Formats: sequence, structure tokens, C-alpha cells
Amino acid sequence: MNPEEPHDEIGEMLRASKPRVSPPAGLEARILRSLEPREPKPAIRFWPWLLLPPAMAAVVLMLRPVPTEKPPVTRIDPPPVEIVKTEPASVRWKNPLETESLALQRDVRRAGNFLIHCLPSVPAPAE
Amino acid sequence: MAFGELVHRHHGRVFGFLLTLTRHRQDAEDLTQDTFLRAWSKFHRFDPAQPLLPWLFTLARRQSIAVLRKRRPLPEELPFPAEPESAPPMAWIWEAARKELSAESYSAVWLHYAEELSIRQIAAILGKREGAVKVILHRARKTLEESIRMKSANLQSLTPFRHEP
Repeated sequence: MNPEEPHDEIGEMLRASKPRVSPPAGLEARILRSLEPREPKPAIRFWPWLLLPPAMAAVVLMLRPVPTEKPPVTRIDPPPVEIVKTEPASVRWKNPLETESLALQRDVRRAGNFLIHCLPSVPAPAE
Repeated sequence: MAFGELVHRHHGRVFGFLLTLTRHRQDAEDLTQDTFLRAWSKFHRFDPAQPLLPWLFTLARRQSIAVLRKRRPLPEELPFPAEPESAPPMAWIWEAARKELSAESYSAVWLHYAEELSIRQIAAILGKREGAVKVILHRARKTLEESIRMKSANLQSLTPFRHEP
């Protein structure tokens, strides 16, 4: 790195004859007048503006009504009446043999009860 | 008022710098006012540890960009003085610089030799790299040296008998 600039004598000539520039009269006053009604602007904080839209969106989502799965249906004609035949639970068609066995068991019980109630009682043996 | 003191101290130098860019006094006046208005609004961003004048020059250059786009013809210039020895050549070298250098080169020369700013500060003001500023200054000095040589040759040709012992 050269300590001296090339054509350094030109630089010395320039430094030796620095011109003096006179600003126009009244320029300073003009600048100060334009500054008077102004106040320094406060620093603008932009972080709240970044958080505001998501916050508002969250509030809207929380407050909105929960949509139903089925939209309401407006019927013009009444629905057709459907006749549904339902069998009693006792006559459900199960295993036919099971049904027969239950019936025989009932019959046996009835017959036994009849015999017990209808036959004369056997006297007790004398002592 | 502290900012008023700032205006008092530096408005002349800001005006001088803007004159190197615009080469038009009215534009330089308007831009000087705009520069200090901008400085007033941006003063809260200024780092007090840094020198103030380069910051003002940076604001001034940015304000001048729009004006520089409107190219105006240079005003009429007076010719160089005819007496070569009574007036030292240094006196009109600045006039030669203003006439023969571009606005960018002339402002770089102004900032370096009139305002005594460093290459680094000039690069920040002009928005260029330090190497580019060095090249600009080197070419500017070379141009001025050639200009002085040409003028000296012309003056010698005009006054052939002045160099007799």
C-alpha cells in the first residue's frame, strides 16, 4: 500500500486552495422557519401491528358459532309414513328346537302340578 | 435550541457539498433545506458516537438523487485567467475540477480535499466501495494534472518571450 497518492501534487494544490462557499443569505433562517411547526416524530413501533391481525383472527374463530354437521332441511311435503312391523321379543325366531324344549318343560311342570293337586293324598302310616 | 445550533454550524458546508452535486445554486438551496428537514425527522436514529457531518452529507446526497435525474445545462463559465504567473495555478484548480469532472468525481474531490474526510467516510456518503472511491479520486487527479499541463502549454505558446532570462 503506497503511503503517497499518485499525482499527490494535485492533492496538495487542492488542499492549499480550498474554496470558501458562501451560503445564500437567509438560508439558515429559512431552514429554521421550516422546522418550527414540526416536532420530531416518535419512533413507530410496528410490532403491535404484526400481532394485531392474528389476534383478531383468533377472536373471530373463537366467537363464531359451531357449524352443525347437517344443514337444516326445509320440507315441503310431509314425509311418507312408514309402517314397520315389529315382532314381540318372545316370538323371536330362534332355534325351533329350543322353543319346543321350552314348551315341553312348561307342559311337564303343569302336568306335575296337576297330579300333585288333583290326586288324593296318601294317608300317613299309623304308628 | 440545539438543532438550531446544528443548522447554524453546518448549513454552509452542506450547501457547499450539494453545490458540487447539483451545480445549481437554487437546487442546492432547496436541497439544503430538505436535508435539514430530513435530519430533524430522523435525528432519533443518529448515533451520537459517530461524526455528524458525514451523516448530514449522506442525507444530502440521497435528497439530491431526484434532482440529479433532471439534467440541467451547466451555467456559463468565465475562461481561465490570462496571467499565468501573477495568479498561482492553485487558485483556479478548483474551477478546473468543477468544469472538467463529473458531478460524482467533483463531489468526491470536494469531500476529500475540501472537507478532509477519509476514503471510508466518502464511500459511505456516496454509497460506493472504498476501492471505487480511490479509483475516482485517482482519475480526477490525473484529469486535473493533464488539464494543468495543457493550460500551461497554451500559456507558454501565448507568451513565448516571458521565459528569457
